Amino acid sequence: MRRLPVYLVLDVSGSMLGEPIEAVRNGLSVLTSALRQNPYALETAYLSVITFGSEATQEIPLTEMAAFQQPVLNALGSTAMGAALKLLAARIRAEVIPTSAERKGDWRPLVFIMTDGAPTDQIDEGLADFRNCKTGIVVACAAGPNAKLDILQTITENVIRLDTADANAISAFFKWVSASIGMTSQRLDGGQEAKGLDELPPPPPELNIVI
Amino acid sequence: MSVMHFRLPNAVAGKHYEGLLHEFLPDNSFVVEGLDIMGLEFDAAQMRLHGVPTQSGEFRLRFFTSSGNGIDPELLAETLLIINPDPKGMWTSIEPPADSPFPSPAERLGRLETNGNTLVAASKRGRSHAREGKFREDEFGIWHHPDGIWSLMLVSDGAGSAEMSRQGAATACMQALAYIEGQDLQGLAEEIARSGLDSIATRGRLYHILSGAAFFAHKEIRAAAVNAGGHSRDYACTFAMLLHGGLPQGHFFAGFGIGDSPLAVVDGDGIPHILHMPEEGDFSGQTNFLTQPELFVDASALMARIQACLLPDFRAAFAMTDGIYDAWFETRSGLGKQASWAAFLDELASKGVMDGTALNEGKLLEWLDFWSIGNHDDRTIVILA
Repeated sequence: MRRLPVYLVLDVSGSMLGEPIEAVRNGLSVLTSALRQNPYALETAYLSVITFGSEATQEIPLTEMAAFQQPVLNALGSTAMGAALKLLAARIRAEVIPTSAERKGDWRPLVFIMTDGAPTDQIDEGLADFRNCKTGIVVACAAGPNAKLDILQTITENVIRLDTADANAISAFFKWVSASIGMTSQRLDGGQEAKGLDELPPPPPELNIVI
Repeated sequence: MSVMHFRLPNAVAGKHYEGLLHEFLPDNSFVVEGLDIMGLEFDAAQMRLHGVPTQSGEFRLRFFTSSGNGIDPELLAETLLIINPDPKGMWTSIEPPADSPFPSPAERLGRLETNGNTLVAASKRGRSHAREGKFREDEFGIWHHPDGIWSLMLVSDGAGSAEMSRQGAATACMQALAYIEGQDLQGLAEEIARSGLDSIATRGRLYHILSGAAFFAHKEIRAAAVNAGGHSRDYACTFAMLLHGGLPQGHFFAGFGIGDSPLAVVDGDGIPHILHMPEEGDFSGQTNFLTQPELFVDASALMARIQACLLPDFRAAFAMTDGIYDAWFETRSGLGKQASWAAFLDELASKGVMDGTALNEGKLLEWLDFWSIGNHDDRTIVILA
């Protein structure tokens, strides 16, 4: 069977402390319980969580929805986004099964990146690695005014901005990510792979698409 | 004393579960709170939670020290147990609105006895369409010439992205069949006897019959679309047609296909002959459709779509849509393998669909309910044996 790999790449730097990280925890919990109720996602979607503070960590390797358990997330340290992109690229290469003559590989992975600040490391090397990966839709979410839109736009053309990194906005982002994974796994059942943001559910008012 | 938090593996409703506690708790002198509502029990001797969960959701379990001697129980540990719903229970079935244009029944079957051979066909709406209250978009056609020599099997898979594709698929099967009925098949038999399978004259006749049938169906769909004020791309469907003739020289098969619905004959030695290889793009869903006018511009490309063979003996011939191909063969490489077909024939035999050359269309329709993770498309198959 062909899996839909989904990578959530989440900023857990010190600036996320308090309400934002709590909102991320809740968001992740709502996302996983919603996807468990969706038969398409339950069969097709595989979820990985990568976090970055002072360093990047794959908290959960690519795991089927039925076996997924939420990692413990704590906000601490700087914003090693370059390391996160490098790790993301390495994990996609290691975990996503390419299509061969013998088998149909996985669908192209969906990637959702969320950050509230500017990277504190060099991102060029990680960015180059990531660009060499075959991915499906990649969405970068700038949570609050301190995230650097121009840097996120070098990662993907799909950049979404939250005016503030408060519980309400972060929760709206996670709900939209959850709906996007649900819709994509349903469409894939009919053999259609989404290629652009316009094929995902329309973002709620808290999410502004950056053009 | 601080409360310990730990995680147990997730459970699935209706499936036996066992969660071992040794790692987390020192001994078995505790009381578990919250188990009763989910249908699990605690086995103190083996330090495990076990049973068949009766409901799904996220459940908080709390472990307390045993009370006694007037001492209040103390909270030792907590865990969140996730019980997934049974995936099979989530595939509900909804009927499409009764007043929809061009309704298609959720399932259909067919059977024709030919001179020494049997044709059976079955088509069933996929779980995905059933859950969304949509129509079956696959169709089949079967036909047997009164001369007792020729039979025709057809399948068509309406594109999920095309609004009226079920009408496209039904029109494709019906019109191609009508076209073939009017063709000089006896002339084809005579030409094969005279000049063989690969002669220009035989290929020319096959081109006229098979490509002609596809083109006729293509034009009829376009006419229906124009009539309804629409566009033929809204009727997009695949097309796979297999002609069989029981000739004095042996069993003659000629296939013509557009899209990802394969055609195959398994010969007397169990070797598959693929008479239409599914056309697939870099990613799934990318295939060709009968409704694309550009496919009918290049005569040599159309000729290349015709694959024919002459076999002394055969076990069965198949036309199927990707709802079956994806689940059982997965790739073109898999479709070409003798082992894949041996497994497929074993499956059909074990489900009572095929018993030698005897075919059971009722069992075939039942078999179409097979469970395959991630494969919930409409399923359609025609078998000749």
